[in-house]
Amino acid sequence: MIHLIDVEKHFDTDVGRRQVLRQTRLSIPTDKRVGVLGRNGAGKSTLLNMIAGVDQPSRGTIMREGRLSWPLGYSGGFHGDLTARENISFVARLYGVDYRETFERAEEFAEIGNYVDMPVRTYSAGMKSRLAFGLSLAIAFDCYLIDESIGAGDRFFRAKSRRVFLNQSRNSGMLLVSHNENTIREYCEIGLVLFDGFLLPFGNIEDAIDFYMRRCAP
Amino acid sequence: MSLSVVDHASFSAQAEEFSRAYAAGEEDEAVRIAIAALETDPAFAPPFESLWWLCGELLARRKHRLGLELTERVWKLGYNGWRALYLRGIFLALNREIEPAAEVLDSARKVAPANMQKEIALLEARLRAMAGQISTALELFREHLKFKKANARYIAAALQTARRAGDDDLAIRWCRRANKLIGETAPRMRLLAEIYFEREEWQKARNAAEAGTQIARKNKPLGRIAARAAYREDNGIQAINRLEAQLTKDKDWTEGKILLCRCLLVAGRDAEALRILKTIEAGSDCEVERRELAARLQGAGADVAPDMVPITDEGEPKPRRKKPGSGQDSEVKKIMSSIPVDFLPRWNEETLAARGNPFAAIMRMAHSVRTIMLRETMAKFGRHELGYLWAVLEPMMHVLVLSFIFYFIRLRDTLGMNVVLFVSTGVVPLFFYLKTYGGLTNALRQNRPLLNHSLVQPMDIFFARSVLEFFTQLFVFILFVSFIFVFVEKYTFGSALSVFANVFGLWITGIGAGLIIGSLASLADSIKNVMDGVNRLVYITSGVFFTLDRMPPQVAEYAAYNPLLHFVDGVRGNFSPLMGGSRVDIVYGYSWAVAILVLGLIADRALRRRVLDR
Repeated sequence: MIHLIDVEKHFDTDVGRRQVLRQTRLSIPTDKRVGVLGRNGAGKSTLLNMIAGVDQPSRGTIMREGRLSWPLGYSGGFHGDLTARENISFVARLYGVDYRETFERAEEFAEIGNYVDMPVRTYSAGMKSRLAFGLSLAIAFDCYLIDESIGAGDRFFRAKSRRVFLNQSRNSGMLLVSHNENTIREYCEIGLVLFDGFLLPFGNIEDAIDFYMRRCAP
Repeated sequence: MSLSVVDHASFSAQAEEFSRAYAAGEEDEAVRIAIAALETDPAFAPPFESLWWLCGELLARRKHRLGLELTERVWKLGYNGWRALYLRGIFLALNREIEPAAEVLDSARKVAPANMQKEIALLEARLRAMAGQISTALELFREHLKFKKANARYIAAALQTARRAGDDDLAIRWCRRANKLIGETAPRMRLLAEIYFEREEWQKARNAAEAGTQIARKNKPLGRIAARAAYREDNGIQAINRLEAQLTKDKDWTEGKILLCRCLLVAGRDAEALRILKTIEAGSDCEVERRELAARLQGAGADVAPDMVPITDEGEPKPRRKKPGSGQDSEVKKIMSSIPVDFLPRWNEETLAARGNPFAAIMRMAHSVRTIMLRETMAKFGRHELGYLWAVLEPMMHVLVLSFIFYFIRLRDTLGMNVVLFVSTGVVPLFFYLKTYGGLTNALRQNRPLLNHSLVQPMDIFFARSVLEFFTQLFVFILFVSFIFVFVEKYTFGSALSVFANVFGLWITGIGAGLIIGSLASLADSIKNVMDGVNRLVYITSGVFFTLDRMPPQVAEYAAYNPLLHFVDGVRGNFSPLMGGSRVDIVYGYSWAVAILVLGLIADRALRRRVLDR
């Protein structure tokens, strides 16, 4: 469960206050596949970052029960001066999982070969995101937080990541954030729509998409 | 001289009669004769000098068919000057033979004098446009159109042509030029408004249409475009006002009523929407929209007549575009007020209490801090070629340079204490402060990605960095003093606890200062530069060079305010019996250190969101 206890978020910018999320009081289930729809700039990523803990709510508290992944599809979590091996060992240690097993699974997926012993800053963007994705798949989470694009890299990699991901996440929940209603329809059962600062809950994904298409889509 | 196109033929009796009447100035009679002759006598042809006059008369009397007959006749007789062709073209056009007319005019234009060419070309262009030869027509207009009052018809035709050719840019340009040079007209403004409307430039469309209605107040199409554009412009209240204004003049505009209803619904004015909706007759061309609106009103709790209930098998209602409402949106309100069971708030006292469990919190933090420390350690090895060696080399260089200076310049001031030992016990303790400060100011920003792991809290990052720095400096310190003891000089060592107490004080001052400056930097970056200057001063005044005891009393009085000086002197007191001295006040130092740490924690708490938001 992710509890949003009277959470509110705004940014104070030079051009005035930008309200991203109005006061929200919801619990998001972590054992279901939840889609979050919103137009570009509606605050989807900020919401996901708040749930992960990178951004902090302006008011209210977020409580997390169960093990949440870091936002997938995001590869900034690596320390550039460390090798893939060292980065994986850090994450494995942090989440208290077996390093060797995690490393093998992540490496198998990421296909970075003998680059595993090079500092991550020398990697191409594709390698980095493959590694990030492989690593998050290698650890069993209760709920995967996913930002926008499932899988980076070339077409073959995308197909592969989709297959692996669906297989992996069959028994776990996920929170998928996207502006694309087709992605949401494909993966999610229930949905939230970020609209004008409101986080609107829908018990049926088609209702969410319907609302999104009618009210948010350009 | 009687010059005639037909002088080779014998004049018929009617022709002679016509000539006589014409010469006598009996114009009506002449025309009457000519008309009769044209209808009956295939050989009738008037004398040349009266030919153009007769054509003009026929034109004026709208005898278009006879005019054509006349021009055909003279053409067959071999006359094909530009004027004959021009007139023939005109009569062809008037007899609805558009394409031949255009062709004839084309040949007329080619032989006509320059001053006539434009006029002929414009007529030809208009005809070609009518005949559907859009691109040719457009070319002619482009080349020959002049924006003056006399050309009003041609301008209108040119605009239509440009529209049909799909060249809206050109149409807009011409509209603007015409408006500027010969004034605005309602049809032109309508055309302009329609173009803008099609391009979804609602504001421009609205402005054009409103300008048009200023000219023709009762022009319904113009008013409708203006109202539609206002609706598309998404100005809730403005759209409502405009639509209402139009509907008072234009009572059977069903589409307008539908649009008004939608606006009112978005604005939450359900009652008015219902009133408008009831004035729409069933079975109009907006039936689908009407029923859909009825359904929405019914959903919002309004009392809707049964014939308005939507027919579900009519298919999906059309998706519409609407401006996000601002808190008044009834649909949003409805969703917010009925949260589906999956999303109902599920926390209770127990969940909230679990968060306050100190044991669990400390365990989590210890785990996270230890892991981050390991990561930072590994990163330090990787970052520089020298890795951790740098942690030792940097203070070593400070010690060597300062020892060198002391050895030659200020030897006697160390009170017989070994110079290297004197410098080491000054510089390395101060590094507890300086390095910790430096490590913390940027800690959060540099390690922001770590926060993606929800196990990691900002405080963990501060903690990991500080602890790592403490042990690093402790290691360096022990290494230095041991080295000196073994290889340079055997000294008498005081209390390890006292040394620890003093470096600990320096360390927490460093943490506090790092937190304060790191947080304040989110308000103004330059504060870091100011603090760098302060730290340079700290380096000089904190006992690295001068101990409190050896300063002149007037100076010492002020220097003693520096809490770090007390800590550094306190450390040094354990390495030489002559150092330390009565003025050293560790309680004063700790008061400051704790105060700075508290301030640091407050600053972090107050500004952490700002630091992370940047």
